[in-house]
Amino acid sequence: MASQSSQGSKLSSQEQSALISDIVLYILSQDHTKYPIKRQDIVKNVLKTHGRHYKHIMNEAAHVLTEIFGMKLVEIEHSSNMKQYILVNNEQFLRDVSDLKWPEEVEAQQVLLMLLLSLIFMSGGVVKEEVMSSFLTRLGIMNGRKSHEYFGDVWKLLTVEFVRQMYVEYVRIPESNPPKYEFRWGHRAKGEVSRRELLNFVSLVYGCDPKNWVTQYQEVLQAESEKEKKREEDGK
Amino acid sequence: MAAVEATPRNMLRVPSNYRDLHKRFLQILMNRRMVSYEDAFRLFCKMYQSEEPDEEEATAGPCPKDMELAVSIINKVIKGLNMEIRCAQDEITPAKYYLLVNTVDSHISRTFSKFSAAELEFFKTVLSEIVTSEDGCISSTACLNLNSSLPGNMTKSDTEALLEKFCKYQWLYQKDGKVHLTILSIVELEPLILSAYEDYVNICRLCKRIVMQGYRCDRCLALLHLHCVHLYTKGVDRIHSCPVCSADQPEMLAAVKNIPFHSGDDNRIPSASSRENKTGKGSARK
Repeated sequence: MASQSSQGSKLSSQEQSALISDIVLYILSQDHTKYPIKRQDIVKNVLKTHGRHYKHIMNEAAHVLTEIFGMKLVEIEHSSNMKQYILVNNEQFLRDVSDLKWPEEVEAQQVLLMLLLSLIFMSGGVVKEEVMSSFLTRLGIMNGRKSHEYFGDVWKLLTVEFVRQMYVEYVRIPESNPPKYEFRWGHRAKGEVSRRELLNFVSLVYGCDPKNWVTQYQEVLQAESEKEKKREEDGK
Repeated sequence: MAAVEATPRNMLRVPSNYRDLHKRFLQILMNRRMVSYEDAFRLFCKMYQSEEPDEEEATAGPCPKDMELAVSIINKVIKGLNMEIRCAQDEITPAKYYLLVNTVDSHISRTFSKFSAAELEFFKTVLSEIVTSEDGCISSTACLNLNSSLPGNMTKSDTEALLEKFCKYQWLYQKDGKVHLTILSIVELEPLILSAYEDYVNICRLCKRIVMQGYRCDRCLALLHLHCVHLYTKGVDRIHSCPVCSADQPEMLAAVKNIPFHSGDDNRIPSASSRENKTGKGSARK
């Protein structure tokens, strides 16, 4: 027993394994919504009376998620000390979109997401809401506030759903009066979306070489080298 | 990062040959739960080749045995999480599938299931009807009427929508007005079915697994999987006798004749563990 835990915990190795396994299953089952998972929910629903082992068990669970499933558990610091997590998938795994099968409404959302993430990326990382709005209108995806047949309530997806899922940030421009907002990439997009693939896609649409977009191409290279460094650090 | 503990039952012990390829394959199975052998192999080849994009590896290409080996490696790793990838054949088609199942009925999967408690109750009722039925399936209309025996007010259209939902998540499938259990349900619920429906459930004498639909001997009434019978009839001197009671069964060969079994390959289900040694000649790919 002494060799089991490094924290002097009173859990048997069997109990530990069971809790780790439960947490992993819980996180995986909640992941399909893409909403952040709250620490308090994990404690309430899984750990219950074993709340004090939280830190140790979460470490192990995170390890399992990375080593076995290839997904990274990322902590999101929320306001008022409320910890949240998102499960960020490996960008390499998501390259071929046809591998994983999603319900139709999710697929529509993924298309929409790609479009807006592309716009933000090509525009240097920030896009004002009017620019986004007119972009989508020009594409015929938005028509005022009317619901689109395939995409649904587009503006709500952009400003509420995708924000909640941490794909985009919709933030108020400081000092703006009347308040104006802008879009940026969110945490999840930074982890899961390949900038290279986006640039390739845009280049395809414009019929040119990705390298022509000098700034963006530099960003691609930088993001890739950062990720490579991170992977080596994590001992992958 | 937490240090890996060196205990035998440690679920964190990941073998050195476990890599991205295995993680991706596992993710696909988690996403789809049920993947045909052919689709799985196609995806496996794609992922395998994207690993080593240089010329030499590209011409070699993986074979099904590589995939089966990868599956057994994954299974060793996910065993501690009470998960397993199993291979099974659909009773009717009889296409081979890889299935990702939970080996233990965890309270987590039940509580945080995509289905509410009431919906799961309904499923249990449907399951019960199917298992205790004559032919291993029930009519869709009978299914829709089952809601009346349950508490709560589910209308006909609610029930229909629920049935669709079960089909969407591959717990059931509907064909020609009948509702069947998918092979995923049969495999995952095997322990439950064996214990709760002991007196009703049929076990195929050839493979020793549950059989819902198949060939029935008209003398001893034994129910056998069509694919098991097909394998059995490959032994030329046995094609007319029941494998269980040896009664003359002239219809038996005809019953399996028109079914699209994979030709030219070993129809045995590859073992998920490395217990058996497979010869696996040729590719299961069409």
